[in-house]
Amino acid sequence: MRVRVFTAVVAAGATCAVLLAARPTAAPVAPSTGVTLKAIGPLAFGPGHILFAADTDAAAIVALDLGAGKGAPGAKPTADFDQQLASLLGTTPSAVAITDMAVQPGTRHAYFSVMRGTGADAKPALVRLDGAGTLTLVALDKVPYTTVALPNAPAAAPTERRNPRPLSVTDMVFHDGRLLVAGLSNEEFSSKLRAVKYPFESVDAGTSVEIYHGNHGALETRSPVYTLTPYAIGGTPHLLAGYLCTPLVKFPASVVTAGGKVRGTTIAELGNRNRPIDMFVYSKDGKDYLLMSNTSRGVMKIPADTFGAAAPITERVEAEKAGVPYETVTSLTGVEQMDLFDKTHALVLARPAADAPRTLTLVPLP
Amino acid sequence: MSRGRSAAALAAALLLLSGCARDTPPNQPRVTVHGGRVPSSITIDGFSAAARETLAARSAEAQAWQDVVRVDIATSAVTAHALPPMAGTFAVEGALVRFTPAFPFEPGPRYRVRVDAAKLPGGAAAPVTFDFDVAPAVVTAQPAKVTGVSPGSVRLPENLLRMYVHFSAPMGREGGARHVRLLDGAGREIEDVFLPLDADLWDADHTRYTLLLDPGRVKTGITPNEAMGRALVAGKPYTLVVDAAWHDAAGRPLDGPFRHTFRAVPAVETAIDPMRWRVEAPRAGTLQPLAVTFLHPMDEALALRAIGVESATGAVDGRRSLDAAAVTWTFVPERPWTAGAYHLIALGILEDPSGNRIGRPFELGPSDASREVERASVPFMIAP
Repeated sequence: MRVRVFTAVVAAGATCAVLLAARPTAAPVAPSTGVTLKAIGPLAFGPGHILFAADTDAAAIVALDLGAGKGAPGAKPTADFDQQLASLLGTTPSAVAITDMAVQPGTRHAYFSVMRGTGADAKPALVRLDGAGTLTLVALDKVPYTTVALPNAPAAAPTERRNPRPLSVTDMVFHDGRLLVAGLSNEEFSSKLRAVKYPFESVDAGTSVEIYHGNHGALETRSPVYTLTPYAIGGTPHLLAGYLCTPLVKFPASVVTAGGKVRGTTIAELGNRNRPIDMFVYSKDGKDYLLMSNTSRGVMKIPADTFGAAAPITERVEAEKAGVPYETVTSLTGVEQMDLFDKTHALVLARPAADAPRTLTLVPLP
Repeated sequence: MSRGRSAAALAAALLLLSGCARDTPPNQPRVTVHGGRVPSSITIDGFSAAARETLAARSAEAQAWQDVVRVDIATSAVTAHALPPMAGTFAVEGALVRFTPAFPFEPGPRYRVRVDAAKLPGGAAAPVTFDFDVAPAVVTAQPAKVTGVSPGSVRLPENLLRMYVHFSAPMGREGGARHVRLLDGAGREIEDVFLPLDADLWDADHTRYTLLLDPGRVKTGITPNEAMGRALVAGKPYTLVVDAAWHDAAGRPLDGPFRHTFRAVPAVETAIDPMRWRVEAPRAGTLQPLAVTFLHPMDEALALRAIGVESATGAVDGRRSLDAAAVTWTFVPERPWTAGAYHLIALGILEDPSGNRIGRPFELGPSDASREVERASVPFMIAP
């Protein structure tokens, strides 16, 4: 049988999506204790002592109120970090997967999200390292928390009990009262950025960020954002986003709204066959820089002062790299986790060689 | 330690080995492991009342007790005291001190309990060391195996972006990067085919893993594509190999390797067009399947999630399935079909394995218009 696309139904579908997106609950959720996580992934610090953690198996975000930190300020560099962590968790280093690391502003304690175990019985753990080198398991069951579920992707038959858990959170950043969540689907290619107001009320339906990927010579609507950081350009809050293969994109933070579609501006092409891991902006000698770690292209130092005036890449790029130039920080290799520690240092978790144990070091900002 | 021996037997054996005999003096701390195969807690007795009073005033966390009792992994390669003790909580319970670990003890590492009561009131002078292991679980079910891939077609487009690997039982958390390879017709491995992701690409019950091919090689005109070409070239044969070293949820290797041989065919670079699907409607009063045949293989997960059936009164409940080649989608209603008008609904998230959507091919130039839709609807009739 020949078939036709029914435009009237298409319009009705669009209305339905808008209605689903605007479903705020009335008041902020009251904190409780005894959080149970299925898994723990990306971390981001929020206001006060709040640490946001993504439960990547449950497609939910928890806001953990860590309270005033105990222990010596700072995070002591640790040569045998894998061994230390495994010892605390009562297992072997090969059974521990570190999913993220975040430095708490103020105390400068380092927090690690960890999966203990590799099988069906793997358990999430949150671990703190202080300035004296004491590694402590955070007793998640005693921490006051609130939680919010990320909206499930749609299904054609809403009555059917399917739980596709299609969204894996790749990065989160707290900015101006909102937690911005970038995700990756294990089914469709998608590039939704979701904004979550904190204290939690509801999650918007997400904004699709469309970029021009000069290396691909094509609009890259659906490539997921892997790392995200806020940066004010010309006094206007912006978000910088790192994509696969590796466009660096800027867009005003205000454009991340429910159901919207945004065209981000590609300001650099940083090279193919590469995935960005972490990035942050810092100042040195009166100039701003973006430091970005990558899976196969090392750590890049990119002058950020030029981001405002950078010419957008809207034509196909024949060269491997284009736009804002960068230098590779050759002293940093095998970086798996990286965060800004203080005004002059980054905290870096790296493998000095392939399959070597991880070491945690404080690195002077380049 | 032999498989299947009880924890108590193991503990007793190690108790003797470690020199902590049963006829220790009354004030000599004694360690007991509690629970079944996986110990749930450890108790120590033999502390004086004064010592217990001192200990009871401490915070429950393991770190606050480590000068007196610490539980950790008996590692000879490192100085154990430079490592943190195993996380958990301590409590004084009558004449006993009990340690409850934050995470279960597990088979593999040997655990060591060290008790040094010398600095406590009435404490014994000699430190006590007690080692124990956890016997591996006796798993009777067969290890997981690969049951198939989707699309399981023997003809796959050269711009293939995504496949699913299905397993017979839940797998562990490790991704497929080290276990999945693509071989050319001569059996040589093709490098840099898959995306180096550490994101969790398992489904909720860990029986389906998403394989993503590097879009950098798939997309035309970009450096890796031009330097290396597409990993798949139309007309040539390939074999996808899943090695047996991938571990299932019980930590066992797979029950053998898996191979899927196919031939690459020309790229599918057009948007999905539901107008060109063949819809075969059954008769009213039956539970016969509605069959929809696509022009090319469809993404399995999305075909099962993003395609449905609506009648004039709303969504129709039923069971959806996709054939191994991912070309024919069928729908069996819960209740017999009634005569009348229906719609096949396809949501805008539907994709084929090359990332093409309804109204929008995966590769879209800056001047190409996207005609993406929230959802498309294909009317069909059920005849009386």
